[in-house]
Amino acid sequence: MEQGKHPYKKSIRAIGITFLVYALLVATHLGEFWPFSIYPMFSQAGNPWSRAIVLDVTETAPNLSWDSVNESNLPGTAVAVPDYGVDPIDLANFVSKTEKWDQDRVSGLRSMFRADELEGRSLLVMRARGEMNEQDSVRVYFEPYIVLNNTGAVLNPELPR
Amino acid sequence: MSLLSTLSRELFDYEREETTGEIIFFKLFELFVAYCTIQYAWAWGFYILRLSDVVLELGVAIYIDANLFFGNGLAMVVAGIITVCVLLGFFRISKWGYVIAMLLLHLQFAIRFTQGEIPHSSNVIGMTLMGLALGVFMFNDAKYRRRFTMGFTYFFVGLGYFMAAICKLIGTGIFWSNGKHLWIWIHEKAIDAFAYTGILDYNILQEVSLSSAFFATTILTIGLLSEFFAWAMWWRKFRTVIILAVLGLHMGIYLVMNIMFWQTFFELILLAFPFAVWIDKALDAYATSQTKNRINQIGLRFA
Repeated sequence: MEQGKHPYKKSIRAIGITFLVYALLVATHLGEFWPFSIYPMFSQAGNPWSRAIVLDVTETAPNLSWDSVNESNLPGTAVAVPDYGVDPIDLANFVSKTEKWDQDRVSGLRSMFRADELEGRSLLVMRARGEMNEQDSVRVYFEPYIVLNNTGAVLNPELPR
Repeated sequence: MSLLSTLSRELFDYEREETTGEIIFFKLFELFVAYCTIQYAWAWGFYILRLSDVVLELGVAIYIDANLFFGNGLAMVVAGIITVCVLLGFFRISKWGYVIAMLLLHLQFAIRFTQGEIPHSSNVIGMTLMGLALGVFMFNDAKYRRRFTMGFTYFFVGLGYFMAAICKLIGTGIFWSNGKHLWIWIHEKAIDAFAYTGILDYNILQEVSLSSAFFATTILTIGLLSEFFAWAMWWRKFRTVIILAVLGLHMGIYLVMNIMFWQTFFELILLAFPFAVWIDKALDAYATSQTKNRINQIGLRFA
């Protein structure tokens, strides 16, 4: 064979070394080191989840309540988040993983939505949560988090800062 | 013959004569991976332009300051270098092309996904790019490079799906496939679609799954089994049927949960069917031996 005597040995060794590097990297990086992964998606079934949606609340912003609501009582019109160039999953993670809503986080969210260009419109970012209830059905509810407009942002007073 | 020896022959099969169809198919397969790599590089690059804060550090972003890439055009420069490197690799101008493209695409991924999401949509393309990079590096003979890249890809794609099944069995256990779990995910994905489109709606398959726990359990069971047996694609005789099952899994996920990894889906189609055999049959029917020789020569030039 043109490629030396042991192309199989060479190939299996390459796969073995790649596998070892793969195992080492995912073991030391919480299961993820692109393109290596342990592929943990959907591995923990039945857990509650958290997402985010955005409503246009230009009309309702002055009288907005910070109470949680269900899907039939949303205080505005839902907007398609990608229309603002934002990935909804990024937004959901930004909302759920923010532990302290300090100035940097609020600015980060305003920058994500290019809030300076909203021109008189108000957007409400809501955290959506879902869980299995005692009746074996899924309960989904929405918590208002932050209103964004071109002059600034108004945070739900309950959020940690 | 030991299991390892049998497996290596199933994956690489270096003794088998290479056909013109294989040469053409491989270059088209490589073109697809090169295109996806460039597409990811620029899509992630453009997205990085609007980022300003780190929520989650992934991969190399743990060791470098991702903020260096925010508020400037550095990610676009990285995308440009990746594009050039992929072209250098594709046309076999430099054997470092794919290696550097691979490393920089990891960097681009780590910076882009500092926002909390950990997607797996690009992992199959990433592993294939690694197979291309290693193949070009390890072998001088084009046939060995091609066979190595394909074998490497089948191995790690099969392993990846198998690991996904193992994670489910470890994370939840044998009752992972309880249909009520699907109900929670369907609502979650309906909210994702709501955020994407501004419309909250459920399709027919979602409605049926939500109304029948048995149906939902059946869907999850078939999905779990497809992942669990994905390693069987390492053997040639099972390859098409196993990859078709995985494609079915992806189609099911798309219909029930609105999630589709298009690049992975199309690559799996390329991996599932015997396109090389079909190309050979077409050449036998329509091409002269002179045309086939010419194709082989071009194949050698960019091998």
